[in-house]
Amino acid sequence: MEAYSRDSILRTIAKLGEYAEARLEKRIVKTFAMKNGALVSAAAFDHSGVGCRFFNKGVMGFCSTSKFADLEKVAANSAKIVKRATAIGEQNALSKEVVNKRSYAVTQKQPVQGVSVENCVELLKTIDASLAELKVSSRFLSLELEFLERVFINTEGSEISFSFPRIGFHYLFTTEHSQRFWQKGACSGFETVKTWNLENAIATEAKEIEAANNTSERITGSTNVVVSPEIAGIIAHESCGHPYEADRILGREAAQAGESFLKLEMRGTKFSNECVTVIDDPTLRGSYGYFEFDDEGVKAKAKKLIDKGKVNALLSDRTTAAVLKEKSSGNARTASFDCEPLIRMSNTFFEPGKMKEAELISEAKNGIYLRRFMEWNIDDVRFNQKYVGCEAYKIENGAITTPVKSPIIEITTPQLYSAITGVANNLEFHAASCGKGEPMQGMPVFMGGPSLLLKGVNLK
Amino acid sequence: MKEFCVEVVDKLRRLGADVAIANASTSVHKQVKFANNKIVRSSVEQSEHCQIFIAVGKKTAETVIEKNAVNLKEKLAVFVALAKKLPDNKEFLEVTKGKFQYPKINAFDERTANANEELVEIVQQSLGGIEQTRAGGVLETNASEEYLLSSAGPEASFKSTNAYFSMRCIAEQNASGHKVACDSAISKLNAVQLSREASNLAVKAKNPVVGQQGTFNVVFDALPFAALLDPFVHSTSVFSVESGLSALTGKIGSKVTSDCISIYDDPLNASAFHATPFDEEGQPTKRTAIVENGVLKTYLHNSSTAKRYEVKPTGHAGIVSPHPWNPIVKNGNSGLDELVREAKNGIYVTNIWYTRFQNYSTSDFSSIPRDAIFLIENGEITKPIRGIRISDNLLKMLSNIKLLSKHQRQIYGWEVDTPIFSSDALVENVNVTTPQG
Repeated sequence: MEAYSRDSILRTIAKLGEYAEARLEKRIVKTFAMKNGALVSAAAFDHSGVGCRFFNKGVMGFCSTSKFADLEKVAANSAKIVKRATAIGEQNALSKEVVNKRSYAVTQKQPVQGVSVENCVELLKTIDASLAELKVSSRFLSLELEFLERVFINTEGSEISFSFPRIGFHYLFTTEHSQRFWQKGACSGFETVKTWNLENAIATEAKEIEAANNTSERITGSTNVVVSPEIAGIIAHESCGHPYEADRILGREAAQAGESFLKLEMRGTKFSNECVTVIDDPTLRGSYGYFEFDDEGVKAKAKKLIDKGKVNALLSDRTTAAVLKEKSSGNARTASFDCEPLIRMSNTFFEPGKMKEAELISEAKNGIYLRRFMEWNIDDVRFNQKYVGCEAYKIENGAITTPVKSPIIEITTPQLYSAITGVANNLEFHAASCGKGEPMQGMPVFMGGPSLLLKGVNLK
Repeated sequence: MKEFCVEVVDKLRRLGADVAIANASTSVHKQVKFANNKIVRSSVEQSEHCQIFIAVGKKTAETVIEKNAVNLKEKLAVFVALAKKLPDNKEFLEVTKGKFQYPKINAFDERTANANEELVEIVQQSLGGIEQTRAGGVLETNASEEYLLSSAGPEASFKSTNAYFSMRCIAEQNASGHKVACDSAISKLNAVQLSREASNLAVKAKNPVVGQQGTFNVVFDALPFAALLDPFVHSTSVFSVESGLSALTGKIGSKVTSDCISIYDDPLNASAFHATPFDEEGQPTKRTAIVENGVLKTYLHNSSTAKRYEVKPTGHAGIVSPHPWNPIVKNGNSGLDELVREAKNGIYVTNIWYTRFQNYSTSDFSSIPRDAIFLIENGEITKPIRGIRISDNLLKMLSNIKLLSKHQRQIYGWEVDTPIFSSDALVENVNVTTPQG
């Protein structure tokens, strides 16, 4: 990171208002992309800078620069706008939080900074070759390695410094009858890539998806559905994590990500069956959404958004926590020094139950098993959602049988959560890049869960 | 910036790069964000960096260097050493060569570049003009300066500004209206007028009934029509075609939309949000016919892909992935009322969001109408509805476009990341679905 004086930065930002914070960051990135066997992109760069958020008479300002020396000039410009905005500015308060001074890092067995170009390219070549053997006509693979160092300081005395490695892998393949876009991710050293077994796993996935789509059989109408952990994960993320973000509920993201069907007065009320608990937990070591302190310096913790079927905790930051007259849930995150922190998920998942997946299938008796999906969306209050399978099978007499083509679940959130009657014990996490904010901030998260049994779902 | 680019290209060549392209830029981005009728954040972000592409033989690599980087020579040496370890990029053939005269575009507006407190004033005026609704959105400006130097010859510079305004008004739950505007100049946004339109839509959308599923004639406002065109124009990049992200494989010269559709990419328009006289290789840009009267005329190319396809470069580098700059749909001759009359019975959609594909290579997709949605009955806009989804095939929908409005707006935003000059559009026989009873 560019050499900086902590005291000098604090002196600069302290002039801006009654509260200020700065994030200093250096990010080292290597990315490689392979298209149909050709290495079409290899990029390596580091990117550093400082971002500052401040409150002047409660009105929020933000500024950032890639040159630390320019911070004062950029901050002064931002301060002028904030001063002019005071008359119609939102008056923010901040929740009172513990002042934290901590330093932490993720231990790496195989540091991402030292992974060789040859290693990365060889990995992509091997995966590509395994798909090409299957005559998969279009293949796009992308490997991203990142090492992030960030220091957070604020005028209350908090100072958090951390360093994270992140590994990400995206893939898109098109077979004769289907297409799949998915990703892997972790906050860890390169050693995790071996555990993904990409060379075999993706080719197996392509075979399974192609075989499952080489059918014209469809199922529509009311039936029982067992969804795999992958589907449970996207459900937890889209229709629980997002609507539980306090800034949506309070209307702050109305023009961007939208608002929420969830209202403050719904806390404590029944939302789902008792078998349903959804958790957001940043502290899972190695997870894609890992952190120990959020980007406001608040200690991270696990929280139950839905607890045994009831609306429980919200995801908040210090400004929304102040409105709610609570402590922050520690979910303020920023994608980069040049973005304001927003309330974001970390690792959001259905708590596993005690049943085995096979028991859910047996209990479903007749219906479908939805294993993988491609198309999905949800409205901007997180109420009306759709998932389209790209790999699914019939369940007949309590066992998985033959493939069915692209089953469609199009359902409201209350209907979906009321339909969950069984929760298995096979917890899995899947990486995703969650979008929020204007400009858009893509945030690494895990979404997860075990398999779930949904009864009486209408397939389109 | 010129001196920096000269230094970088010179050093890279001495270190062994056969091709070196340095593209330096400085930018200042300002934003005022508002929600619940109050300003919630004001920001100023400054950035200075240099994007670099090199080829060592057929080994290609990219990096970004901060202009104030310490140990520049060492950084570049590490970068070239990394490139030498790569396998050949079998798709790389060449970059643009030679010296060019670049088109002059007057896309820099002093008022936009200097706007500071004025951003707050415009937002304040916009909020003052709306009634009975709660408003959220952003007003932002960007001022940037760019300098490109390529060892293959091209050398170019460009200064530009742009401004973007988004206003969403909410009258009550399920009743909202959203309008956006963008231009190279802040004076052209008409923020106050747009805000009134968004507010009026929200009020008219109150008490919506649940919509029905079925097949409908749909009139799309310019905003959602741009959101439908966004994935289409991206799919014209040859990178998308080759990756499986396009349903246009093998369709050059074929009808891909209805006859009334012509789409040009025009980064030379002075109002263009993404105006530019040169691409990432220094190839001069021009107005490019992508679709004319429904026929796909070209993919978007850089020099290497153009050579592979034995066509001329189209000025759309992306050295890795060619991309559109600022498309424009040729407008029609109709007013919105004529589109509605022609629809006879159907739906009027003012915004969509969360467009996702089941399969990009077939263009099966769905998207969710957001904000005000109205029934069209007997050729008139009637009652508001809610809770529907467009679940269809994009190429099929584009082939079912019957009419376009004469009136156009340049659209950019969350669902439209390539700014598009868009019209209102009447699309026949659109498949609409709803969640289970």
